Amino acid sequence: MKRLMIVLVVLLVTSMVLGVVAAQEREDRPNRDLTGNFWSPTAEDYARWRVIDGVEEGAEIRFWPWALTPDFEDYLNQIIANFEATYPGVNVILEGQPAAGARDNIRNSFAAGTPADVINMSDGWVAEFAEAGVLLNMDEAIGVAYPALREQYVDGAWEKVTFEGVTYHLPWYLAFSNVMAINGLIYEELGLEAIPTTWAEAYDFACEVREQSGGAYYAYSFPWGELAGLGVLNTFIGEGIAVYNEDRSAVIFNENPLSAEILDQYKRLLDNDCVPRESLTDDVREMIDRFSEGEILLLQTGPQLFRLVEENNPEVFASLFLGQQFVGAANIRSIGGVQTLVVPAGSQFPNAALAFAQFVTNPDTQTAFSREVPIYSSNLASYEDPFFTEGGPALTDQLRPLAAEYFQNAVNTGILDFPQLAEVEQIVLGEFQAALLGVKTSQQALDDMAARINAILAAQ
Amino acid sequence: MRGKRRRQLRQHIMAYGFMVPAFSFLTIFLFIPLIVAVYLSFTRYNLLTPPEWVGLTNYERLFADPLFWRGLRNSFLYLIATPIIITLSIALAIVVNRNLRGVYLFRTVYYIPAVTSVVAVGMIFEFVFAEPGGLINGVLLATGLIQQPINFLTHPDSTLISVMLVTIWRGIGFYMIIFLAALQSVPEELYEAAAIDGANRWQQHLYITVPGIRPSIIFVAIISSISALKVFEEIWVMTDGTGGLLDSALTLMFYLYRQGFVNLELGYAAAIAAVFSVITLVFSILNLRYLERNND
Repeated sequence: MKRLMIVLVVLLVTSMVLGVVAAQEREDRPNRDLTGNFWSPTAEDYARWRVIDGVEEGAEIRFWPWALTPDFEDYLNQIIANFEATYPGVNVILEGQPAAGARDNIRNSFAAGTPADVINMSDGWVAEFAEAGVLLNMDEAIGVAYPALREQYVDGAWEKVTFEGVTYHLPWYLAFSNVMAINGLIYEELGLEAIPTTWAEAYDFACEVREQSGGAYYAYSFPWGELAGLGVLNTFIGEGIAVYNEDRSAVIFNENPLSAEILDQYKRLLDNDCVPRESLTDDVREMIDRFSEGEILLLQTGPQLFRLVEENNPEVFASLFLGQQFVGAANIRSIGGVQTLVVPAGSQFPNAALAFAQFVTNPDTQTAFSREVPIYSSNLASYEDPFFTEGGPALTDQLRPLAAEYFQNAVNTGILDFPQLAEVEQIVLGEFQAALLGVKTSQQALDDMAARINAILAAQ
Repeated sequence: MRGKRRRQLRQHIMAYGFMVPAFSFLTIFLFIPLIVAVYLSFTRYNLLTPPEWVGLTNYERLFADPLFWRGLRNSFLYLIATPIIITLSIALAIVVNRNLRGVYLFRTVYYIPAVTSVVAVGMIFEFVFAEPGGLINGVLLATGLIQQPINFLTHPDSTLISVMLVTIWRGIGFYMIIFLAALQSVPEELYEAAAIDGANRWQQHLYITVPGIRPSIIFVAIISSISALKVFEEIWVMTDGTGGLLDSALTLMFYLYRQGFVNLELGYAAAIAAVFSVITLVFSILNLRYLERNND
């Protein structure tokens, strides 16, 4: 009987171990390295990862990532296991938030006084919480207390969103916004030999593709329905137009005649059917769907979204090759979307929460995440890993060796620093549409846009 | 005497006892939120920090806000959908009120839009309104009936009308069922008598059907006009949450949402809600009075 029990226990343990290994070996994660220090950490790794002092013994903290569960639940659970082994006595509860309604859930949790201790926010969400004074000041908590750790983060991501010059987030994963996908089927059919590299050339190129294809294809489309609000300000910066005055007390982009010229170019593209009219209302997802239908030559978006093209139309995906996104006259590569981690100022366990946020963003943890999905680390130390120094066979693998240089030089355009950001977005979007639809001249729309934003800035 | 009083008392206690659950429910989920909303309309509140009393500031701002007036105008414009829905759903109810083979299938099919999720409706109409290869534009262009695609959602003048079409499409089946039930209570003999008197089908419907289902028409007119004033879902889905180009489909409810949950101006949104509630109440009373007077 005793021998039978031993056999059963051995079988049970073996099956559990095999089960865990099988669960971690996923066909859809070909880059996952189960022998690396993330999935198989040693005591030395735990010692190296322990960098935050004063972590509260017995702390129980809640972690809210958004849009990552259940797809990345095994990765997130491994982070938690590693963290709990690094800081024994701290317990982390994972509470994944769905993509839809995540922002509202976060707002409501603050309103109810029960926010999680570590919250994942998109960069555009942080400002309102920072403005309300409910987040931990990261310039002090990490920048002053642990300057060596601060140095590891990509500057453009650390400063992506600030309130009164202060950073309230730790940058987590980043999007590579320097590439575009080219539909090889259209490229070959039209006998193209090169794609323009600057916006100055790209405007005429759009009409040439339309004409050359007999109205069958567009060169590109825009997600103006979603991004025009702040995207147009990014475009101005890309062309070397100053958005703010020197002390950032007012916007001055309307004073440069080049701004109106850009809007005039957009209007010309629209009026002459050189870009789809639905660019006026499309968001990024709709722009990708339109590209997937095989009628658009170029797709300018982050490579992490190329998988949507694969899901929509494998034939188009199979033909894709990569090029560099168009640049403006200033030749600026701006930092793309930044996912962040924030810690509520009222957290009961601020040191444990800070330690966890730092742990999630440390080089090893982030490199392991990049192995899961083509997103990029906000921690420059990650890029010393051979995974980043060497490429790979997949389309997006070609970008990895370019990432370190790109993120070191990517510029933060500072357009998320406006107070009352949502209202500023609506102002810019409304005036932008007024110019494109011919309700106002481009210059009049820009003057009205600047005047309305300056009224908000003056009221601060 | 004492026994009668005791019985009355017991009946009163029992009656109030039956009312307590519903009253408690309404108190928690309606009356208290209503009072809190009115209080918030006199404050500056962003959900993240405590409300700050600002008196009538939100109301002063509201009456000077051009987007409030645009929202109000569009909300009232949306009422155009009401008579269209009523007319079409009565017509449809009359058609499916016959004893034809397969009529149950038609009744079911016409009702499907009413139970279809608004997200699915959004996806359907994204295809229907697409340019240039959507269902409507594709067919019209292919048959040569138009040379340029119709800008359903990409022109400020047509956005609200396009969204209204979606509301009408969704509403017809639902109201058809109400009218169908009402039609079945109109005595068949009246039609027979009218036919003997020489009334044609149109006259029969005008002088028998419409008066016969008037209570249902009043009911539908009130609930559909309140729904039209409160429209939000269709606008959200069809304009990707933007309110349309140049806020052309911005209704008061949508503006309330934007101020409250996008701009986090909960106090201002509460002021919009308070004014909107008064408008809806007055409108409903006037609507009811008018229809009742005609009924007499």
